[in-house]
Amino acid sequence: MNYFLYPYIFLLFPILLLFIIIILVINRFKGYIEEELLGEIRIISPALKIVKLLFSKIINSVEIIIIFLSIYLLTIMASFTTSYTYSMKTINLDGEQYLFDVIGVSNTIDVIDKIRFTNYTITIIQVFNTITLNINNESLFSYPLLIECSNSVESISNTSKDIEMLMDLCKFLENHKIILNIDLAKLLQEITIGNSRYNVIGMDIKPLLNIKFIPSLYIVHSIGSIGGTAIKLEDINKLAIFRFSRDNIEILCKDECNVKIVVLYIESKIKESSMLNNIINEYKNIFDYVIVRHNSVGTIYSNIFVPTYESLIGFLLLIIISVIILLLLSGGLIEKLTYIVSKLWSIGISKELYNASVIFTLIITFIFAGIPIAIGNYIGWLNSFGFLTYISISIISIAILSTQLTRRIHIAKPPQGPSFTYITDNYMDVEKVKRCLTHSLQNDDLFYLNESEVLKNSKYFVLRLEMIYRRALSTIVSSEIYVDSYDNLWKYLIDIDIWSIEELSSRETKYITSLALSKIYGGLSLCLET
Amino acid sequence: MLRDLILKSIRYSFYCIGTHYAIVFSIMLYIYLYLYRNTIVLIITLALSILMVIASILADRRNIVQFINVLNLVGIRRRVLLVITIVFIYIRSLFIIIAYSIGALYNSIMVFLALFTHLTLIFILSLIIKSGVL
Repeated sequence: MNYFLYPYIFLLFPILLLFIIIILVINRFKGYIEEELLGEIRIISPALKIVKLLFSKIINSVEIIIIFLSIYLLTIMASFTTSYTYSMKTINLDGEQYLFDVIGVSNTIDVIDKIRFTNYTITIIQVFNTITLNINNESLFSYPLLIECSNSVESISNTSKDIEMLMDLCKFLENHKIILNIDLAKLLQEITIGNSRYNVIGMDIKPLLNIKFIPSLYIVHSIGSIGGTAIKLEDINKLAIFRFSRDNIEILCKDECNVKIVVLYIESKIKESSMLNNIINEYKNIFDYVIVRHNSVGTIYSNIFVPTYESLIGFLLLIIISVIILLLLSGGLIEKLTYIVSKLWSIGISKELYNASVIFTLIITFIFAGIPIAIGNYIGWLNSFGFLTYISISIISIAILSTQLTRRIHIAKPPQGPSFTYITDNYMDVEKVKRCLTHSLQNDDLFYLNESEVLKNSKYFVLRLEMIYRRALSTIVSSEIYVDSYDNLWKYLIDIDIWSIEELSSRETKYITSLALSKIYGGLSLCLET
Repeated sequence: MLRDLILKSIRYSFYCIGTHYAIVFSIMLYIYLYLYRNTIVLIITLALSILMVIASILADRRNIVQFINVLNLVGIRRRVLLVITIVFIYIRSLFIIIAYSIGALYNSIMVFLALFTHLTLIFILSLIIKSGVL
């Protein structure tokens, strides 16, 4: 019952509000595209205008509203029902020294505030910001390593030599003391970092170079491995060991701190399984990854969450539900768009352009609709799995809807042929016909009348019109109207020829021809009948 | 005659594509209710199943209009028409109702509440469709 109080459900209301605002805005600009007068020849494709038209038609339909409501509900549901688990990997540690029971590794310095230093822990901080040591007027760069052991770690017996060495280091390290390799320590008594001075202690720390917890994770600075070879600090003289304290951290990390924090938990002689489990659970929440050793098997738990199988099944179900709803509603959406498709078809829009426009429109629509989901995800109302679900459903929706919407174009009626005969008993002088046609085609939005002339023959007249198709770069339509008379009847045979330097497909040529024919026929019939 | 008409409307409803999708949806709904048993999922599935019924009606809009027009042409009474429309619409939500009912075996009393709400909303929807067509 507590779920009622959960804020997720309130996401629905801002989404609905946004949707209503979009519809109102679209409604306000409805009809704008059709009313706009076309200008002179432009290289700009009319695709954007088609996108605008399709967008306004799609967004106004009840089908798309139901589709989006469903998708929002599915997204919220996906966000709710997701459960994550830690990603887990096992590694073989057979033959490796028993140095730890649990290790926590992190790459952020903030972790030190969260670590609860329990018994039997050793903290190692590899600082990747170098310090400069001045030896005989020469500068030597060193990588600081900060170490701290909890007090009771000394009570652990039967541990390995390496751990004992770490414990020895802890004993020697105090505030304002630094351990360097014995060779280097002979040359330095004291070093200064910032305003702090450190007394140098010399020790044989060379064995530290080879202490590794798991392959590619060493006690000294390491950044992983390439092709099985670990990339780690190889020169022991470049290692400077400090005691882990906040003061030292502040001195060594002035601006930014590039570190790797390794916390070892070593189980005591008395096996406390509940304690170990608590440590594992605690470390899982703090560190980037946690390694737990059980004899010769190491288990790496990463804090990269992966969805459970149950969540994936749920995700699959949601996808199927969205497909069902889409298939149901796409039919209604297509019916509404058929009228526009026929209109676009008749003005010579090619199938490819229409397909591209439909896909682009759908992408824009889904991007707009995804904004509330993205905001919800950003402010934490929805989780990233919900957002992923929205993206997946959007891609599937775009694929299904665009397939359905583009398939419909085959149903549109093909335009008529390239010639037409018009017979009338109304006589009009051919010069007057020319003037009338010129006038009717003067402000045409699709064709620019380039040339018009009358060719006279003893038997018939030829009225020739040359027009430039405005929506292409160089497509010229030449029409010849043969005027002939039989008794009291006048016959006008309109013949269209098209010429273009563009690579027009046969379908496009056919459309432009039909378009020109219908324009001339319309103009001619208007001139002769009125 | 009423019985014949109701049987015919049931048969006709099964022919429509919307009912087929509603059956698939109800299977998904059942699995979902089985997997996730919490209140918020129930509320969302309730809203989703209502949308599903609306979507299936929209998909079969032409069939429904044709069916009601035919019934009008044969001079059927309004009350009978209402009953037949309700039957026609309920058939497509029948499987969704079955999914809720089976879900009630696993879930709490909330499923019954969802079932009741679903039935009521579908009834209101039937009334709207009938008045819209007429």
